[in-house]
Amino acid sequence: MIIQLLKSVWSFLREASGENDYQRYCTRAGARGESPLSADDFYLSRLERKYSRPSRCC
Amino acid sequence: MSALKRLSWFLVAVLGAIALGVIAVARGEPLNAVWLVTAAVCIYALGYRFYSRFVAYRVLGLDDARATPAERLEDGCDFIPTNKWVLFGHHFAAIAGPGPLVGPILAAQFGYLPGTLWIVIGGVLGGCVQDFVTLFFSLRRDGRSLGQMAKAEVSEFGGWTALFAVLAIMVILIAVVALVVVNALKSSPWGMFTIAVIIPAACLIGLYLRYLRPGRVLEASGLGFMLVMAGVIGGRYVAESPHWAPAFTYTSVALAWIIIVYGFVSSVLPAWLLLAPRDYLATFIKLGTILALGVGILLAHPPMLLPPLTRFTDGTGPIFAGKVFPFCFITIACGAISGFHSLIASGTTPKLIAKESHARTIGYGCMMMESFVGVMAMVAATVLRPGFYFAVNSPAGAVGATPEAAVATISGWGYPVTAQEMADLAHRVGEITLFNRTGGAPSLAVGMAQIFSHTLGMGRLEAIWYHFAIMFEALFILTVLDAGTRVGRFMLQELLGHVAPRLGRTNWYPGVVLTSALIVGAWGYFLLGGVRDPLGGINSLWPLFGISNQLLATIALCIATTILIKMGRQRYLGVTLAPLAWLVTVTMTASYQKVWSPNPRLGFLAHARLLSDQLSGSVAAGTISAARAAEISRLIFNDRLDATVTLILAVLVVLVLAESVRQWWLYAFGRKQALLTEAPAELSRLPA
Repeated sequence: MIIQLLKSVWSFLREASGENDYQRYCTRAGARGESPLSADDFYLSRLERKYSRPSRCC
Repeated sequence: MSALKRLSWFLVAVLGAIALGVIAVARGEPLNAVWLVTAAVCIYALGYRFYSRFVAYRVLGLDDARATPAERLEDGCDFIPTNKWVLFGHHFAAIAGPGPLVGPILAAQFGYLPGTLWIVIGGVLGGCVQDFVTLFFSLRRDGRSLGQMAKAEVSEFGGWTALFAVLAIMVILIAVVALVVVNALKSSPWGMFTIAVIIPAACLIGLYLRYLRPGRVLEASGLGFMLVMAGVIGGRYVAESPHWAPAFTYTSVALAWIIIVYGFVSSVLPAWLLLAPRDYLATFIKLGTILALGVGILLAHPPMLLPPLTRFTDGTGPIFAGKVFPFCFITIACGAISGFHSLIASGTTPKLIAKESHARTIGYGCMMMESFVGVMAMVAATVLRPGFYFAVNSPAGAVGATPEAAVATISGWGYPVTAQEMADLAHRVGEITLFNRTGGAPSLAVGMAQIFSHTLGMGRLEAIWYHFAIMFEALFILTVLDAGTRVGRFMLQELLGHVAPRLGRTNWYPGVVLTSALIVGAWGYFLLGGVRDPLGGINSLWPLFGISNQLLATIALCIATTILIKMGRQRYLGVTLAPLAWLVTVTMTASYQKVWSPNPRLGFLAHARLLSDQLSGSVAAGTISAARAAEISRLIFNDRLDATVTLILAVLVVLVLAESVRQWWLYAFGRKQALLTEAPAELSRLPA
C-alpha cells in the first residue's frame, strides 16, 4: 500500500512538473494528423508562452 | 445536507468561535499560536464550504455540463484539460510570492491582531472572491486577459488604464521585492554566498534540462536542490573565513547595483538557461517550505510574544508611518486581496481548467491557501520578542544608527532589548548583525529558524535554518524579479510597437536589450532611492506597492461588477461591490495621506519640504558639502516622484471607477444593451 501511495505521489509530481506534457502533445498532434514540434522546440515555445505574460505574482 | 454534515459544520463554527473568543479575551500571558491557526482554519473552512459555494452556484452559475475552453479548443499547447489538483499546485505556485510572507511581518508592528483579522476576513470576503470571479469570467471568455476583459466589458479606456496600471505596478513591485532582498543580504557573507551559488546552479540545471536529460524536471530540480543546500551549508565556512567573508560582504547600495545588473542580464538571457530552471527550483522549495512551516507551527505550537495590539496603532510606527487604518490594509495585500492575482487568474490557468466547478477550488481555494500562508508568516513574526522584532525591522533613521542607540530607543518604547542579546541572536543565526535589517525577510527567517529548530530538537541548526529561509525567500523573489522584468519588457514592446514597429518585435535582439534596459532602469531607480532613504525604503516603497496593487484589484472588481450586471445578477452585486467599496476607501485614504499628510514621516511632500528647508538653511550657513547637498536634492526629488506616482495611481482608480459606474448606470436604466462577450456554450463530453 505504501509503495502504491509512493507511486501515486511520484506520478502526480511528474504530471505537475510537466514531464508528461510533450508526450501528451504528440498524442494530440497525431490524432489531428499534424506533425508535432520536436521536444526541444516544444520546450522552448512553452517557456516563451509562459514567461511572456504575468506568471509569477508578488 | 445531511444532519451529520450540518452537525459537523456547526461544530467547526463553534470551535472557530471559541478560538476567536480566546484571542479576544487573552490578556497578560502570551497566547499560543495554535489558537490563531485554529480560528483561521475554521473561518477558511466555513468560508470555502458556504460562501464560495454561494458565489459559485447562486452568483456565477458554474455549470459542469458546459465545455470549458480547455476542452473546446484543446491543442496540447495552450488549451489542455488538466487534473484539478495539478492545476491547483500550478496556480498556487504562480500566485504565492513574497507578498504574503513580507506584508504580515511588516504589519505586525501594530500587533498581531489587526493584520490577522484583515488576512482572514479580507481573504474570505475579498481576495478569494476576486481571484475566483476573475478566473471564472476569463474561463467563460476563452482565457482572455484582464486588460482584454476591461476593454470588452467596460470600455476601451478601461482596457488602456489596466495596461498602464499593470506596467506601473510591475515596476514598483520589482523595486520593492528587490529592496527586500537587498536588506536580507546586506552585510551577510553567508547569505550572499548562498544566493551567488544559486545562479551557476540554475544555469547548470538549465543546460542539463536542455541538452543532457530533456524533460526530466524532477531529477534536474533534485540536483539543483542539492547544489543549493551545499551553498546554504557551505556559506558558514565562507562567513567564518577571514579571506572569503569580505569578498561576499556588501553594503546595501552595492547590493542594489549588483541586483540591477543581475536583473538586466537575467532578463535578456534565454529563459531556458536561468529563469525556468530557477523557477522550477523555487517552486518546489517554496511549496515544501510552506508545508514544513505549517507542520513546524503545529509541532512547536509557539507562544506569540508580540502583543495583539502595540502602541504603534497610533501611527508612530518605526517600520512604516501611518495608523492601522488605512495602512494595515495597504501593507498586507497578497495575503488578503491582491490585484496582481487577477492577472494570474486571467492568464494561463483559465485555459487549463477541465470543468467549471474546478474554478471554485482553484480560484477561491488557492487564494485561501495563500491567505493561510499570511497567517503563518504572522505567527513567525510573533514568536520573536517585541524588542527583537523592532530591533531587526526598524531603520536606523527611526531608532538610531548604533546598537546602543537602537536598544535605548526600543526599550524606551516598552519593548526591552539589549545590544548583547541582539549580538547573541545574530551569532546564533550566523549573521554579523541583525540591526536595521528592514524589509521583513530577516525577521521572518529568524522566526522560521526558531520554529524549525525547536521542532525535532534541532536547535544546533538554527543558523542553517535561518539561511535556508533567506535562500528560500531570495530564490523566488529573484524569479519574480526576472519574470516581472520580462513581462514588463513585453508590455513595453507592445506599446512602443505602435510607434516604432521594429521595437515591437520580440525576436529583434536590439529591441529586447533596449526595452529590458528601460524596465530595469525604471525599477532600479526606485530601488536605489529606497536603499538611500534614511527613513528606510520600506517606509516609502511598500505603501506605494500596496496602493498600486489594490488599484489593480479595484479595476478587477469593477470589471467583475460590470459583468455581473450584464449577467442580470444585480441582487448579488454585494459580493463584488463590498470589497470594491472597501478597497476604494482604503486606497484613497492611504493615497491622500501619503501625498498630503503634514507629518514628514508619512507624507511625501511634507518630507520633501522638510528636507528642502534643511538644505536651504545648511547651504546658507555653509555647513554642508556639495556631495551631501546633491544627495539631499536627490531625496527631495524622489519624494516628489513618489507623490506624483501615488497621485497618478489614485487618479486612475477614480477614472476607472467613474467609467465603470457610468456603464452600470447605462445598463441599469436600459440605456445600453447588456451584451456579454462569453464564448458560445457547448456541451461537455468530459466526465465529471
